[in-house]
Amino acid sequence: MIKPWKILDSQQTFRDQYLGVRTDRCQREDGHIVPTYHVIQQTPWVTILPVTDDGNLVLVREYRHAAGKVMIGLPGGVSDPGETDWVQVAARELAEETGYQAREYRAIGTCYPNPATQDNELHFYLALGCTPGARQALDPNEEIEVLEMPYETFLAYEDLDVQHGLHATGLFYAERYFQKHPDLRPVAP
Amino acid sequence: MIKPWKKRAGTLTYRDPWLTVRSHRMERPDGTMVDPFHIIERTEWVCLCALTESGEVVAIREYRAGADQVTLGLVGGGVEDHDPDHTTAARRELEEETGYRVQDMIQIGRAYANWANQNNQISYFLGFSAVPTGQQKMDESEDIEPVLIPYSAFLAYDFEGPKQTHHAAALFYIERYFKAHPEKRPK
Repeated sequence: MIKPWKILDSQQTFRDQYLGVRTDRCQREDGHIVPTYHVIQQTPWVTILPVTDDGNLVLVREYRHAAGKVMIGLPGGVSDPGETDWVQVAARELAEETGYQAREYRAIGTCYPNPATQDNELHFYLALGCTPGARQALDPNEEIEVLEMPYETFLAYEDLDVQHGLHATGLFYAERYFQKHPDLRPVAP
Repeated sequence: MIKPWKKRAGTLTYRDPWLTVRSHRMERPDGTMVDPFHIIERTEWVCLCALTESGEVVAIREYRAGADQVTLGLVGGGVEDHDPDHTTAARRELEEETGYRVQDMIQIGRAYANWANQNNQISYFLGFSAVPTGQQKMDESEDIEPVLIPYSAFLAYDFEGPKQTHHAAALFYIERYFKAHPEKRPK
Protein backbone atom coordinates (compact mmCIF):
# COMPACT_ATOMS: atom_id res chain seq x y z
CA MET A 1 0.00 0.00 0.00
CA ILE A 2 1.40 3.39 -1.04
CA LYS A 3 1.64 5.89 1.84
CA PRO A 4 2.43 9.62 1.91
CA TRP A 5 6.04 10.59 2.59
CA LYS A 6 7.16 12.13 5.86
CA ILE A 7 8.78 15.56 5.47
CA LEU A 8 11.99 15.56 7.51
CA ASP A 9 13.15 19.03 6.55
CA SER A 10 11.70 21.81 4.43
CA GLN A 11 13.38 24.96 3.12
CA GLN A 12 12.14 27.96 1.17
CA THR A 13 14.60 27.75 -1.73
CA PHE A 14 13.17 30.69 -3.64
CA ARG A 15 10.42 33.21 -3.06
CA ASP A 16 9.32 36.42 -4.69
CA GLN A 17 5.84 37.84 -5.27
CA TYR A 18 5.25 35.54 -8.28
CA LEU A 19 6.84 32.21 -7.46
CA GLY A 20 7.77 30.03 -4.50
CA VAL A 21 9.94 26.94 -4.50
CA ARG A 22 10.01 24.77 -1.39
CA THR A 23 12.65 22.07 -1.14
CA ASP A 24 11.90 19.10 1.08
CA ARG A 25 13.93 16.20 2.41
CA CYS A 26 11.51 13.26 2.72
CA GLN A 27 11.34 9.76 4.08
CA ARG A 28 9.28 7.01 2.51
CA GLU A 29 7.34 4.39 4.45
CA ASP A 30 10.14 1.83 3.78
CA GLY A 31 12.75 4.18 5.28
CA HIS A 32 14.22 5.32 1.95
CA ILE A 33 15.28 8.98 2.05
CA VAL A 34 14.42 11.27 -0.87
CA PRO A 35 17.12 13.90 -0.28
CA THR A 36 15.90 16.76 -2.51
CA TYR A 37 12.34 17.25 -3.72
CA HIS A 38 11.22 20.61 -5.09
CA VAL A 39 7.60 21.73 -4.76
CA ILE A 40 6.51 24.74 -6.82
CA GLN A 41 4.13 26.84 -4.72
CA GLN A 42 1.25 28.56 -6.50
CA THR A 43 -2.18 29.83 -5.46
CA PRO A 44 -5.23 27.94 -6.90
CA TRP A 45 -6.16 28.64 -10.52
CA VAL A 46 -9.59 29.00 -12.15
CA THR A 47 -10.35 28.33 -15.82
CA ILE A 48 -13.69 29.32 -17.39
CA LEU A 49 -15.66 27.90 -20.33
CA PRO A 50 -17.83 30.95 -21.14
CA VAL A 51 -20.82 30.07 -23.33
CA THR A 52 -23.17 32.51 -25.02
CA ASP A 53 -26.87 31.76 -25.58
CA ASP A 54 -26.21 31.42 -29.31
CA GLY A 55 -23.77 28.53 -28.85
CA ASN A 56 -20.42 30.31 -28.90
CA LEU A 57 -17.46 30.07 -26.57
CA VAL A 58 -15.81 33.35 -25.54
CA LEU A 59 -12.07 32.87 -26.08
CA VAL A 60 -8.91 34.89 -25.60
CA ARG A 61 -5.91 35.28 -27.85
CA GLU A 62 -2.76 36.22 -25.96
CA TYR A 63 0.99 35.92 -25.97
CA ARG A 64 2.13 33.11 -23.69
CA HIS A 65 5.68 33.84 -22.83
CA ALA A 66 6.91 30.43 -21.64
CA ALA A 67 5.93 28.97 -25.01
CA GLY A 68 6.99 32.12 -26.88
CA LYS A 69 3.83 32.06 -29.00
CA VAL A 70 0.51 33.84 -29.46
CA MET A 71 -2.26 31.35 -28.67
CA ILE A 72 -6.03 30.97 -28.51
CA GLY A 73 -7.48 29.61 -25.30
CA LEU A 74 -9.96 29.78 -22.46
CA PRO A 75 -9.99 32.73 -20.06
CA GLY A 76 -8.84 32.14 -16.50
CA GLY A 77 -6.40 33.16 -13.87
CA VAL A 78 -4.86 32.92 -10.49
CA SER A 79 -6.58 33.47 -7.17
CA ASP A 80 -5.18 35.86 -4.60
CA PRO A 81 -3.62 34.39 -1.45
CA GLY A 82 -6.43 33.33 0.95
CA GLU A 83 -9.18 33.52 -1.66
CA THR A 84 -11.58 30.50 -1.74
CA ASP A 85 -14.70 31.75 -3.56
CA TRP A 86 -13.92 30.31 -7.00
CA VAL A 87 -17.06 31.69 -8.66
CA GLN A 88 -15.94 35.15 -7.62
CA VAL A 89 -12.47 34.50 -9.07
CA ALA A 90 -14.08 33.16 -12.27
CA ALA A 91 -16.38 36.19 -12.60
CA ARG A 92 -13.50 38.59 -11.97
CA GLU A 93 -11.15 36.93 -14.47
CA LEU A 94 -13.88 36.68 -17.10
CA ALA A 95 -14.73 40.38 -16.68
CA GLU A 96 -11.08 41.51 -16.63
CA GLU A 97 -9.92 39.43 -19.58
CA THR A 98 -12.98 39.64 -21.83
CA GLY A 99 -15.40 42.27 -20.50
CA TYR A 100 -18.14 39.57 -20.55
CA GLN A 101 -20.53 38.70 -17.74
CA ALA A 102 -22.27 35.37 -17.10
CA ARG A 103 -25.84 34.71 -16.00
CA GLU A 104 -24.82 31.64 -14.03
CA TYR A 105 -21.78 29.52 -13.09
CA ARG A 106 -21.57 25.73 -12.77
CA ALA A 107 -18.58 23.89 -11.24
CA ILE A 108 -17.62 21.12 -13.68
CA GLY A 109 -14.33 19.76 -12.34
CA THR A 110 -11.28 20.26 -10.15
CA CYS A 111 -7.83 18.77 -10.59
CA TYR A 112 -4.15 19.35 -9.92
CA PRO A 113 -2.23 20.96 -12.81
CA ASN A 114 0.72 18.86 -11.71
CA PRO A 115 0.48 16.98 -8.38
CA ALA A 116 4.04 15.71 -8.74
CA THR A 117 5.72 19.06 -8.30
CA GLN A 118 3.11 21.79 -7.87
CA ASP A 119 0.92 22.28 -4.80
CA ASN A 120 -2.13 24.07 -6.23
CA GLU A 121 -5.48 22.98 -7.64
CA LEU A 122 -7.28 24.16 -10.78
CA HIS A 123 -11.06 24.70 -10.76
CA PHE A 124 -13.08 24.60 -13.99
CA TYR A 125 -16.33 26.55 -14.33
CA LEU A 126 -18.94 26.59 -17.04
CA ALA A 127 -20.24 30.16 -17.40
CA LEU A 128 -23.73 30.20 -18.95
CA GLY A 129 -25.49 33.04 -20.74
CA CYS A 130 -22.40 35.19 -21.31
CA THR A 131 -22.88 38.67 -22.73
CA PRO A 132 -20.38 41.42 -23.55
CA GLY A 133 -20.88 44.28 -21.14
CA ALA A 134 -17.96 46.27 -19.91
CA ARG A 135 -14.47 46.97 -21.18
CA GLN A 136 -11.58 44.67 -20.34
CA ALA A 137 -9.55 45.59 -17.25
CA LEU A 138 -6.18 44.00 -17.87
CA ASP A 139 -3.20 43.59 -15.58
CA PRO A 140 -0.11 45.50 -16.77
CA ASN A 141 1.36 42.17 -17.97
CA GLU A 142 -1.73 41.17 -19.93
CA GLU A 143 -2.59 42.00 -23.51
CA ILE A 144 -5.61 40.08 -24.70
CA GLU A 145 -7.85 39.91 -27.77
CA VAL A 146 -11.37 38.54 -27.32
CA LEU A 147 -13.14 36.37 -29.87
CA GLU A 148 -16.24 34.21 -30.08
CA MET A 149 -16.15 30.77 -31.71
CA PRO A 150 -18.86 28.08 -32.04
CA TYR A 151 -18.41 25.54 -29.22
CA GLU A 152 -18.40 22.67 -31.74
CA THR A 153 -15.48 24.28 -33.61
CA PHE A 154 -13.36 24.65 -30.48
CA LEU A 155 -14.27 21.09 -29.45
CA ALA A 156 -12.22 19.84 -32.43
CA TYR A 157 -9.32 21.09 -30.31
CA GLU A 158 -6.94 18.37 -31.57
CA ASP A 159 -6.93 20.18 -34.95
CA LEU A 160 -5.42 23.43 -33.57
CA ASP A 161 -1.74 24.03 -34.39
CA VAL A 162 -0.80 24.75 -30.81
CA GLN A 163 -2.68 23.20 -27.90
CA HIS A 164 -2.72 23.50 -24.13
CA GLY A 165 -3.23 20.48 -21.89
CA LEU A 166 -5.23 22.50 -19.37
CA HIS A 167 -7.74 23.54 -22.03
CA ALA A 168 -8.13 19.97 -23.30
CA THR A 169 -8.95 19.19 -19.67
CA GLY A 170 -11.59 21.94 -19.63
CA LEU A 171 -13.19 20.41 -22.73
CA PHE A 172 -13.12 16.96 -21.09
CA TYR A 173 -15.05 18.30 -18.08
CA ALA A 174 -17.43 20.32 -20.30
CA GLU A 175 -18.25 17.27 -22.44
CA ARG A 176 -18.84 15.15 -19.34
CA TYR A 177 -21.16 17.85 -17.98
CA PHE A 178 -23.11 18.21 -21.26
CA GLN A 179 -23.59 14.43 -21.42
CA LYS A 180 -25.35 14.62 -18.05
CA HIS A 181 -27.13 17.92 -18.91
CA PRO A 182 -27.83 17.70 -22.66
CA ASP A 183 -30.20 20.71 -22.46
CA LEU A 184 -27.19 22.93 -21.67
CA ARG A 185 -25.05 21.85 -24.65
CA PRO A 186 -24.25 24.97 -26.72
CA VAL A 187 -25.92 24.91 -30.12
CA ALA A 188 -26.01 27.49 -32.88
CA PRO A 189 -29.49 29.02 -33.31
CA MET B 1 -3.16 42.33 -33.09
CA ILE B 2 -1.33 40.49 -30.32
CA LYS B 3 2.42 40.19 -31.00
CA PRO B 4 5.12 38.20 -29.20
CA TRP B 5 7.13 40.07 -26.60
CA LYS B 6 10.86 40.74 -26.96
CA LYS B 7 13.23 39.03 -24.56
CA ARG B 8 15.68 41.69 -23.32
CA ALA B 9 17.63 39.62 -20.80
CA GLY B 10 17.37 36.27 -19.11
CA THR B 11 19.08 35.31 -15.90
CA LEU B 12 19.31 31.90 -14.36
CA THR B 13 17.44 32.37 -11.08
CA TYR B 14 17.78 28.81 -9.90
CA ARG B 15 19.31 25.62 -11.20
CA ASP B 16 20.11 22.21 -9.82
CA PRO B 17 19.81 18.74 -11.39
CA TRP B 18 16.00 18.73 -10.95
CA LEU B 19 14.81 22.27 -11.55
CA THR B 20 15.67 25.28 -13.68
CA VAL B 21 13.98 28.66 -13.26
CA ARG B 22 14.99 31.35 -15.75
CA SER B 23 13.81 34.92 -15.19
CA HIS B 24 13.43 37.22 -18.16
CA ARG B 25 13.20 40.97 -18.60
CA MET B 26 10.54 41.36 -21.27
CA GLU B 27 9.51 44.21 -23.52
CA ARG B 28 5.96 44.32 -24.80
CA PRO B 29 5.16 45.73 -28.28
CA ASP B 30 3.89 48.94 -26.62
CA GLY B 31 7.27 49.39 -24.89
CA THR B 32 6.12 48.40 -21.40
CA MET B 33 8.66 46.30 -19.50
CA VAL B 34 7.66 43.14 -17.65
CA ASP B 35 10.36 42.26 -15.17
CA PRO B 36 10.80 39.62 -13.88
CA PHE B 37 8.91 36.91 -15.76
CA HIS B 38 9.79 33.47 -14.37
CA ILE B 39 9.82 30.43 -16.63
CA ILE B 40 10.12 26.92 -15.27
CA GLU B 41 12.20 24.94 -17.75
CA ARG B 42 11.38 21.27 -18.03
CA THR B 43 12.09 18.34 -20.33
CA GLU B 44 9.33 17.09 -22.66
CA TRP B 45 6.74 14.85 -20.98
CA VAL B 46 4.78 11.79 -22.11
CA CYS B 47 1.47 10.42 -20.80
CA LEU B 48 0.16 6.97 -21.74
CA CYS B 49 -3.19 5.25 -21.36
CA ALA B 50 -2.42 1.54 -21.85
CA LEU B 51 -5.43 -0.75 -22.38
CA THR B 52 -5.51 -4.51 -21.89
CA GLU B 53 -7.34 -6.82 -24.34
CA SER B 54 -10.23 -6.95 -21.87
CA GLY B 55 -10.59 -3.16 -21.89
CA GLU B 56 -8.89 -2.22 -18.65
CA VAL B 57 -6.64 0.80 -18.13
CA VAL B 58 -3.21 0.02 -16.66
CA ALA B 59 -3.30 2.80 -14.06
CA ILE B 60 -0.94 3.55 -11.18
CA ARG B 61 -1.29 4.57 -7.60
CA GLU B 62 1.57 6.71 -6.31
CA TYR B 63 2.45 9.37 -3.78
CA ARG B 64 2.71 12.83 -5.34
CA ALA B 65 4.63 15.22 -3.14
CA GLY B 66 3.35 18.45 -4.73
CA ALA B 67 -0.20 17.54 -3.74
CA ASP B 68 1.07 15.63 -0.66
CA GLN B 69 -1.42 12.83 -1.42
CA VAL B 70 -1.56 9.35 -2.89
CA THR B 71 -3.06 9.66 -6.38
CA LEU B 72 -4.56 7.31 -8.94
CA GLY B 73 -3.71 8.06 -12.54
CA LEU B 74 -2.08 7.24 -15.84
CA VAL B 75 1.53 6.36 -16.56
CA GLY B 76 3.76 9.29 -17.45
CA GLY B 77 7.11 10.93 -17.09
CA GLY B 78 9.88 12.94 -18.65
CA VAL B 79 11.58 12.16 -21.95
CA GLU B 80 15.22 11.29 -21.20
CA ASP B 81 18.30 12.11 -23.25
CA HIS B 82 18.77 8.48 -24.27
CA ASP B 83 15.17 8.07 -25.53
CA PRO B 84 15.33 8.18 -29.35
CA ASP B 85 11.74 9.46 -29.55
CA HIS B 86 8.66 10.12 -27.45
CA THR B 87 7.07 6.77 -28.31
CA THR B 88 10.09 4.98 -26.84
CA ALA B 89 9.88 7.18 -23.75
CA ALA B 90 6.21 6.27 -23.26
CA ARG B 91 6.96 2.53 -23.63
CA ARG B 92 9.88 2.84 -21.20
CA GLU B 93 7.79 4.69 -18.61
CA LEU B 94 5.02 2.08 -18.88
CA GLU B 95 7.39 -0.81 -18.28
CA GLU B 96 9.32 0.94 -15.49
CA GLU B 97 6.21 2.08 -13.63
CA THR B 98 3.94 -0.97 -14.10
CA GLY B 99 5.88 -3.90 -15.60
CA TYR B 100 3.45 -3.87 -18.54
CA ARG B 101 4.23 -3.69 -22.25
CA VAL B 102 1.92 -2.76 -25.11
CA GLN B 103 1.83 -4.14 -28.64
CA ASP B 104 0.48 -1.13 -30.55
CA MET B 105 0.67 2.47 -29.56
CA ILE B 106 -0.52 5.67 -31.21
CA GLN B 107 -0.07 9.33 -30.38
CA ILE B 108 -3.45 10.96 -29.84
CA GLY B 109 -2.47 14.49 -28.79
CA ARG B 110 0.25 16.97 -28.03
CA ALA B 111 -0.13 20.08 -25.91
CA TYR B 112 1.76 22.52 -23.71
CA ALA B 113 1.92 21.30 -20.12
CA ASN B 114 1.33 24.86 -18.91
CA TRP B 115 1.99 27.53 -21.47
CA ALA B 116 1.86 30.47 -19.09
CA ASN B 117 5.07 29.71 -17.21
CA GLN B 118 6.44 26.35 -18.28
CA ASN B 119 8.26 25.73 -21.56
CA ASN B 120 7.65 22.03 -22.25
CA GLN B 121 5.01 20.05 -24.14
CA ILE B 122 3.39 16.75 -23.33
CA SER B 123 2.66 13.98 -25.84
CA TYR B 124 -0.39 11.81 -25.14
CA PHE B 125 -0.42 8.15 -26.21
CA LEU B 126 -2.96 5.35 -26.35
CA GLY B 127 -1.62 1.78 -26.12
CA PHE B 128 -3.37 -1.50 -26.91
CA SER B 129 -3.02 -5.15 -25.84
CA ALA B 130 -1.10 -4.38 -22.64
CA VAL B 131 0.41 -7.45 -20.95
CA PRO B 132 2.51 -7.78 -17.76
CA THR B 133 5.58 -9.28 -19.40
CA GLY B 134 8.09 -6.56 -18.50
CA GLN B 135 10.11 -5.60 -15.47
CA GLN B 136 8.97 -2.85 -13.07
CA LYS B 137 11.93 -0.56 -12.31
CA MET B 138 11.36 2.58 -10.31
CA ASP B 139 13.47 5.70 -9.80
CA GLU B 140 14.68 6.48 -6.28
CA SER B 141 11.93 9.01 -5.74
CA GLU B 142 9.16 6.73 -7.04
CA ASP B 143 6.89 4.41 -5.11
CA ILE B 144 4.29 2.97 -7.48
CA GLU B 145 1.54 0.33 -7.47
CA PRO B 146 -0.09 -0.74 -10.78
CA VAL B 147 -3.91 -1.00 -10.75
CA LEU B 148 -6.26 -2.29 -13.48
CA ILE B 149 -9.47 -0.27 -13.91
CA PRO B 150 -12.20 -0.78 -16.56
CA TYR B 151 -11.92 2.02 -19.16
CA SER B 152 -15.53 3.15 -18.62
CA ALA B 153 -14.90 3.53 -14.89
CA PHE B 154 -11.71 5.53 -15.46
CA LEU B 155 -13.48 7.67 -18.07
CA ALA B 156 -16.06 8.74 -15.46
CA TYR B 157 -13.04 10.25 -13.66
CA ASP B 158 -14.94 10.58 -10.39
CA PHE B 159 -13.01 8.27 -8.06
CA GLU B 160 -11.95 9.36 -4.57
CA GLY B 161 -8.81 11.46 -4.28
CA PRO B 162 -6.97 14.05 -6.30
CA LYS B 163 -7.27 14.25 -10.08
CA GLN B 164 -4.53 15.18 -12.53
CA THR B 165 -5.03 17.71 -15.30
CA HIS B 166 -3.04 15.80 -17.90
CA HIS B 167 -4.94 12.59 -17.28
CA ALA B 168 -8.26 14.37 -17.89
CA ALA B 169 -6.66 15.93 -20.99
CA ALA B 170 -5.58 12.45 -22.14
CA LEU B 171 -9.19 11.28 -21.73
CA PHE B 172 -10.34 14.19 -23.90
CA TYR B 173 -7.94 13.18 -26.71
CA ILE B 174 -8.80 9.47 -26.29
CA GLU B 175 -12.53 10.18 -26.57
CA ARG B 176 -11.93 12.30 -29.70
CA TYR B 177 -9.97 9.35 -31.13
CA PHE B 178 -12.70 6.81 -30.27
CA LYS B 179 -15.31 9.12 -31.81
CA ALA B 180 -13.39 8.93 -35.09
CA HIS B 181 -12.51 5.21 -34.65
CA PRO B 182 -15.47 3.63 -32.79
CA GLU B 183 -14.23 0.08 -33.52
CA LYS B 184 -11.22 0.72 -31.23
CA ARG B 185 -13.33 1.58 -28.18
CA PRO B 186 -13.04 -1.05 -25.38
CA LYS B 187 -16.22 -3.14 -25.18
